[in-house]
Amino acid sequence: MIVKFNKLFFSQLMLLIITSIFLSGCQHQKIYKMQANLSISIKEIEKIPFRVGLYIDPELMNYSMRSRYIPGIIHLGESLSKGAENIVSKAFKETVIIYTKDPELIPKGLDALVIPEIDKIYVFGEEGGIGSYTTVIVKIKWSIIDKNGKILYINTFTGEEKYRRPTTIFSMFPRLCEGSTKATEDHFTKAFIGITSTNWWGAIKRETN
Amino acid sequence: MKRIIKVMLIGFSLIIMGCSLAVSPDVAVKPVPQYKFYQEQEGLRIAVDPFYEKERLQNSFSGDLLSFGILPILIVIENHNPKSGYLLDRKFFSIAMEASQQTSDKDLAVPMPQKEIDTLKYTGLGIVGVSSIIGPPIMLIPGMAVMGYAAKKEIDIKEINENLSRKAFIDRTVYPGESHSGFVYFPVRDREASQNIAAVLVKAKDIPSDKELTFVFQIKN
Repeated sequence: MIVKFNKLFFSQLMLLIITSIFLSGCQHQKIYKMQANLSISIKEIEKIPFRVGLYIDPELMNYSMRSRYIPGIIHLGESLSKGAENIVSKAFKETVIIYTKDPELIPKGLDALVIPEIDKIYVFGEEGGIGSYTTVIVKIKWSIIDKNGKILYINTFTGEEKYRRPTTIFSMFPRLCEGSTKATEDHFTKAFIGITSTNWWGAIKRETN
Repeated sequence: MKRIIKVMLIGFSLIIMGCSLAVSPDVAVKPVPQYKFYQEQEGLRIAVDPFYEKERLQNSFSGDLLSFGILPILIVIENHNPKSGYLLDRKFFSIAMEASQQTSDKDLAVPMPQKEIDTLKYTGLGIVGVSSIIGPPIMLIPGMAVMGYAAKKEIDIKEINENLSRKAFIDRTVYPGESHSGFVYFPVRDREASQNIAAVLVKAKDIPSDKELTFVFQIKN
């Protein structure tokens, strides 16, 4: 078979080679561990008079996020569990951290169990063109159940951080890390306000006494 | 040679610049009594609003969901009961089809699972476009056009998915003075089938007594 090298074929081949080199260069994996002490802007309030167990799920504790377009991993697990501990201890009179839901192993005398579960953590619009927006979304479902497993409170809070796509490929990952941190902080602020803003626990406390 | 590079650059730029994803604005929610289908029981007010119209679907979800077999129904809740809180869970919602439209074993349709909604996908023509670019020179411009079209379709689907996710009804407890709203997505065969819904059923569970309130909205007169 005779291959005729004309100018057009050559230019296409060059483009393919350059693109391949460029893409393979992007495969270096970056790792970012989100800070454990997040800046969550919450006011001091009169605490809910419950002694609660905060259940930290292994999925929450070890959660990592991968970008679909930037080779890198963001470890959020520690921030998520510390953030949950931070807001729950500020919302309730007494908080005990537990790592099991087994009734036999849960400390006695708790009024309720607080369970944060990851619904979805993702990035939207990352593939957008220059000038477009990227949004990091942190969605966590919060359930509060009584000692008999009955639901007392359920809500899902969404933390978001929207930012303009950086102009250089080198600033994309740091910007994503910053966006993830802010979205996580936003989530915890909303969750704290949501859980403490209504007197959902009033009638239940009276009933259990 | 120069002309070819120019064409490729323009084509590539068009694809990149076109990849701007946006989410439709939130649906404005009215007070419950202002909806056509509205009921109140023990201070709990619930309204349902099925979105059939192409224009409303386009404005709210960036696409005609009925063409994907999805009927979105907006559920609006206000708790005016001074004492009770209620649990609203998607598992408690369903739609009943008209008798003639019922399948043999199923006369109630339950909401679509989130996983199913998240997997809406467009089987793109991108690969045809790419193969055209590295293929014969004559296919370069049509290849670029196909790639651009495929990229646009992928973006449309991503926008629809994001709208579905953001506007979905979230399971939650609604305590005195609180309100809540969101879309529940039901599977329908097509636009015509969506017109044959007889009723929408919504259940709410009282906390902590577990007493159930059932709201039945007759959609067809």
